[in-house]
Amino acid sequence: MQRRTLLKLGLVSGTVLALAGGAAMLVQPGLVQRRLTDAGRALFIGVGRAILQGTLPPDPAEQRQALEGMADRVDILAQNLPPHVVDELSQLVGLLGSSAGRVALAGLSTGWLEATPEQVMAALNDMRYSRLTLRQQAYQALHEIVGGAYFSEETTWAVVGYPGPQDI
Amino acid sequence: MSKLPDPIREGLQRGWKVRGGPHGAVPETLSCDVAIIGSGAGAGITAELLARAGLSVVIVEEGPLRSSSDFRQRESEAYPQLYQESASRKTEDKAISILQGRCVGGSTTVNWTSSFRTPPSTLGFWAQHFGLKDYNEQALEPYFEQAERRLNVSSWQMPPNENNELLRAGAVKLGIPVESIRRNVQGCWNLGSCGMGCPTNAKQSMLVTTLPVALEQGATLLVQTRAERLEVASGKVQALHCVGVQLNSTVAGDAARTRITAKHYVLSGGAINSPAVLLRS
Repeated sequence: MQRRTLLKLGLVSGTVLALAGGAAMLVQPGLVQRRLTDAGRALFIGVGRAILQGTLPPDPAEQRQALEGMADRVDILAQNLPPHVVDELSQLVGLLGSSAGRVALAGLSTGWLEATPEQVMAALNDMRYSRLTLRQQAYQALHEIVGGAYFSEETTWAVVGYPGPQDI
Repeated sequence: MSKLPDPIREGLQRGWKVRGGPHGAVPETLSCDVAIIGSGAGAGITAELLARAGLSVVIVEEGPLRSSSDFRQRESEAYPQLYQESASRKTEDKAISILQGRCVGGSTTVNWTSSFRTPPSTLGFWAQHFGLKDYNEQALEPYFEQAERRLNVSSWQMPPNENNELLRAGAVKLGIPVESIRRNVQGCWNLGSCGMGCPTNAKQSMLVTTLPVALEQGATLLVQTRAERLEVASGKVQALHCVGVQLNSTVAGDAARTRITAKHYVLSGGAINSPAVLLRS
């Protein structure tokens, strides 16, 4: 893709996000005082359950705990972000956390927690390979935040074969 | 925590003039010969040169002062403390992450030590588009050499890991020239933790090279202090206005504000933040 086209798409998607986000903000922001709302938390737990398949503990109770921990660490991430990034994240989470936004952006007709991990993964892949920059960006943001938040916890390292940093 | 000696904490104990954040209040007004915005590659080299020449120097850094004792090789700690936007800075289309430092030493504290000279094609572009005709390879050669000597830039001696060896072999097969990267390290432990701050002080960042010399010469370092705008009047910079910032870049209601007057101002906050200061001015 030529750089000029890329920039134009970026601008268009920015406008779409501003409009769509603006509408969603009227319903509910994704973060309140830099913490995920219940809908935002459901989004991350649902997405985490799909993206982290194979690395999560198999026991249902332990898995739930691991995903709750991941969502807690998204809150910590939000505490550390500068204000303009928090606003952007809040817009995206608010949008995807609303049923209208979820259907429009992710193409997922059931809720993030009601859908099976396979259904969520299929929706995420649709976003990932979408021709719409906004959908791609939404996928990338979710993927990056879920992965970063999950694997920042030391107890998750063993399953991916990382022994942890060398003691100095 | 690293049990190795920490030259920064030792310097602080010797009485280096560091203010801002947990290091004590920044005065409302300061005056000096040269105010330097940023503390990365451009700022560090400038600060050392000018402090050695006997000028009074004030360095203004938005990020915190962290050093080897703090570098625990964990992304969860390093990103929020050492990076711009907690390592979430991106291009406008979000396609590319921009991992840029925001701490004392700037990106030189968190980069992976690849040290190459400005490519001739880039110098050519600058000459053609920005009138920098004197910035050619020959003219810059002695300055590149000086910086490389100062920061111990040399070819990496360790054999590549399996990933990189595959890349090398593939490139050779395709007839693409391959060279070992040159790095600014001294006694590298090969830990693979460069991006989280070097816990052994092997990385020859500004944090452990030029800035300690400047501070030893009496330079003042303001940390967790944002260079907000330059005050311009009569076609000349009159002052630099600064404000204290929290680690997540928010400005508290009661944040300390400082006006610095200097004979000269050096804007060395990097290719993204330097224009931002100008836009705010």
